[in-house]
Amino acid sequence: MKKLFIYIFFILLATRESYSKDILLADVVESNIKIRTSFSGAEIFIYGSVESQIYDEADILIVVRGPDKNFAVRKKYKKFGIWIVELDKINFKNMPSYYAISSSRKLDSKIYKNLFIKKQIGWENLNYNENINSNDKKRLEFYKALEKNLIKKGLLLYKEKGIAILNKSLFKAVFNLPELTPTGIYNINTYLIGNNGHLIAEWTNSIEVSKEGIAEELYNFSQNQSLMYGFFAAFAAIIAGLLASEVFRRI
Amino acid sequence: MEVYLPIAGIPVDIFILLFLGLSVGFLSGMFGVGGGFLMTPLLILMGIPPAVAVASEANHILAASFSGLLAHIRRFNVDFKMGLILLLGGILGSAIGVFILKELLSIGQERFFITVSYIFVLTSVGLWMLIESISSIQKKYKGKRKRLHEHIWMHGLPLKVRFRKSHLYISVIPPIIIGLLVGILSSIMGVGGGFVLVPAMIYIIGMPTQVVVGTSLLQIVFVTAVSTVLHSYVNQTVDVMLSSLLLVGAVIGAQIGTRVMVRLSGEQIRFFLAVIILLVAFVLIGELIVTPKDMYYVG
Repeated sequence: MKKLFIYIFFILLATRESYSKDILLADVVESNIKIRTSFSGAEIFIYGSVESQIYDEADILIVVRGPDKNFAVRKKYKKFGIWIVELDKINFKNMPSYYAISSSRKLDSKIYKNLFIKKQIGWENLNYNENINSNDKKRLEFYKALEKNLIKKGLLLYKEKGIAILNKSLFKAVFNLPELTPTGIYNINTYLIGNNGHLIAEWTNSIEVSKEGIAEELYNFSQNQSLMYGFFAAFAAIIAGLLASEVFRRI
Repeated sequence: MEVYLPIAGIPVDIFILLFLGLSVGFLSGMFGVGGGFLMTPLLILMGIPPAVAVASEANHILAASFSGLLAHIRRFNVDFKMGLILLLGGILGSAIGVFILKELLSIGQERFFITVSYIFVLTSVGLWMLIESISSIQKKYKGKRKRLHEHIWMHGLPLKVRFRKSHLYISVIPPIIIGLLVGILSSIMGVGGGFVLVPAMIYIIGMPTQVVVGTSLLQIVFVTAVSTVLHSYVNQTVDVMLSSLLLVGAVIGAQIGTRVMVRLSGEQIRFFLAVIILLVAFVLIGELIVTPKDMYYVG
């Protein structure tokens, strides 16, 4: 069903291209993604079209950025043969809680450097002046550690050649959202970049990622009404204990 | 089949949780202990954040001990007056523990602190039980008997109260202090504290064995209830999904364990329990010494 839906869109896009002057178009299949917590994650499905003459001298790049989050990173060190977490920490503010990049070809970072810094594309260019351009070696080291941590959790993804191109004009890309994906508004920026490193066109979409199911309701309950949640947890445990004792008294 | 734990923030295999609940429940039924001191370290080793493991286990223990408490109330095995005195300290201790954990969370030291607390408590309790059980097994062979009642320093303390059910006339200060310490221990480590409370009630307060378990369950039920509410309110670390899945396994495991228990003598039970406790402590020491896979802590 989903596939059929996409095909129809592709056909519509293809016919539209013949008279449209838009050189870049992109859209998402579902703008409201609900992660069912009993299954493993979800996907963001992006498709679009690009003018085929331009595509020969250009690359497509898609960046998906989740809601901002502040991170604190601490290092572990060994003392008396025991591993201890350092008290000192380095804060990284307003970083994306989810960040994924996909491109149509392998991109030459030298050519695109200025554009990437300006547009804050790529992990190394996020809050560039604060994070990378500072000569703080420890900050850089911790920044790399944060990167590794997010990659391990599946919250930071790089996919070279992750965009599939059809007929030099239609493209699609898929991004995986793991179960622990943060909820909120995700911005999707699609860039058409010339081989000389200049931005030709840009397209923005946004989607809302939410979770559904009992787990998500419990999470919201615990965060928004902590005290009530506490009483609920205690009460539920007492009822469960009561039930258990009644059941086994009869066996 | 995977289930996502909303507060812990990680997906886990539901059957692993059920199996864990079942095995710890089995041991707790067999040895007559709550099992929190085994469950919490195992949850941490599974990858659940220590603060969440501790708080959710407190919630799980509340459920497990409540059914136990009911059984003891039916048999009139609870000294409510003593329980109330213990609770004065216990509830205060639980609150102190929750706030200590809050401070530790804010400086990223909770994992280290919880692990070290476990190593310390498990090693001392484990060794003590091991020595005690071995020596009483030996005494049994030699046919010697223990003295019934000894007079120690605490019998000189003021504020004496009569506890009819326990046949005691003692100061309320030791029970309050014991309650307080066990309360702190309970909310920091996610244990009921029975493995400390029961020996303390027998050897320090001098209560008769038949009311000890019921009265300690009374303390455990109230302290873990307070811990559950405060952990939720202050630290948002109680994972109901986790605690209820553990409970399903534990309830069944405990029933099986209780039926196996009869075949072992008291000393043998204490000996095996000591070995298990020391084993867990050993694994935790390993956790501290082994070079971590990730050299950084991200919060």
